[in-house]
Amino acid sequence: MYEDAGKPRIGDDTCELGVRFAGHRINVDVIVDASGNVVMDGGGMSVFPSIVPADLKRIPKRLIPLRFANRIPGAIGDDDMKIWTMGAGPFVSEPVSATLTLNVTGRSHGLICPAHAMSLTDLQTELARTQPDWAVEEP
Amino acid sequence: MFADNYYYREYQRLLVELHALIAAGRNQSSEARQLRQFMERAEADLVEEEVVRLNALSADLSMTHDREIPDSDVVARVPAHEVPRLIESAYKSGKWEDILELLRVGASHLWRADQVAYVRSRAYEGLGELAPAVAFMDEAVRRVPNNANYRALALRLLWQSKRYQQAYSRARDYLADANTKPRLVLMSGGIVAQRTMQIPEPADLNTVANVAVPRMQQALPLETSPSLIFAGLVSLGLLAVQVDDMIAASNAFRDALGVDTISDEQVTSSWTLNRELELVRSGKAKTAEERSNARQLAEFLQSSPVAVTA
Repeated sequence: MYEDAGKPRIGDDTCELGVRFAGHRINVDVIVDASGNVVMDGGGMSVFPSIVPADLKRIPKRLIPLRFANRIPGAIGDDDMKIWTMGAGPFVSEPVSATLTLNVTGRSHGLICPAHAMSLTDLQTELARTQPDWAVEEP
Repeated sequence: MFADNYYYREYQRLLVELHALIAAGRNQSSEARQLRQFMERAEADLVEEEVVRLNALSADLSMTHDREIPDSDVVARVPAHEVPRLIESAYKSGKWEDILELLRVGASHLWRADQVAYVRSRAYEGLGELAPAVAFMDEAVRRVPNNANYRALALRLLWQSKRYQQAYSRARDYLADANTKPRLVLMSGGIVAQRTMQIPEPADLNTVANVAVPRMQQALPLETSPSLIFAGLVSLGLLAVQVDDMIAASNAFRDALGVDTISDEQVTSSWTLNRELELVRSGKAKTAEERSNARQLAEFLQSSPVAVTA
């Protein structure tokens, strides 16, 4: 994610702390129903388990800043981005807070989703509230 | 095969473009950011296995900006002293995936960088993945600019990957350059000859064909490979028809028919070639019948050999 004053930048665009919704020019992370609530279909903000080599092999290299190309084969990401980590538990589908849950979708990919029904605004707020918990962890 | 997935091929194309921008020092440009966004869109239609493979391609392409590093997994698995033998064996049996993986141990102690790029190009071509095949052959050219074989192969790969205009533009530039080696002149003439069969024609096609005819006439006597002489004569004939030089066309087709038989394609195209000669001689050049026949001849050129083989 991009950085803002030493923490991940909060927002609703690509590589920001938040989710993208209908109307985004590239991708949609969550679907919002007619009443403004996020559809509970497992959609959310993409995360990866770790930066150990076995996981890095499965992470698209556009997400690994180019400055790491001398350590991570094929890195081609934007050098303005940083790699962030939150929590130290196992990468399994389970709640990460009272309002958010991790939905593991593959060996090296998961989504942070709402733990219960909530509006898009509330989901963005809950994700933004995790900002202090993220720290830079680079290879 | 991976190349069957449209999104996989699209991602490869984007990856090649992004590495080219990085090589040009434009990693932080708006174009690079836009490419990454397009890549994200394509990722939605890729399975994990495809992402892993595309990541490996990204690592291979890092050589184009001198950032390639060995893959620690391959280094740990394959003893360094075994690598040359394993690559040779894989090459002989056309195990392209194995070759690509073995090269990731860091092959600079085995081959020069242009040779690594060349082998990678051949391997990706063997897998039917032409965007990286072109990129690596261009990298071989970048490393050794005066190697006409690399340039000829890159030209052929561009044409094969249906990037016709790019192939045509390069061929035009080679023909205009007095220092271009004879083999590359013949290859370039072949590309322009094939371009004459496509609609719409480039605006400068006749000008380029007029340059190509005498250059090919000069280059042909210097060529020694019968298959290249044959392909060159067919190309020359088609170009001469394009510029309404029916004497040159007849001579070229007649000479092509007299070349020693050395390939299946030569035998199978001889009927079409005879017909072409007959049509040109009887004043039917550029009629619908002749154009249809000429298109078949041009198809033969697509499969004709280039200077080097694996």
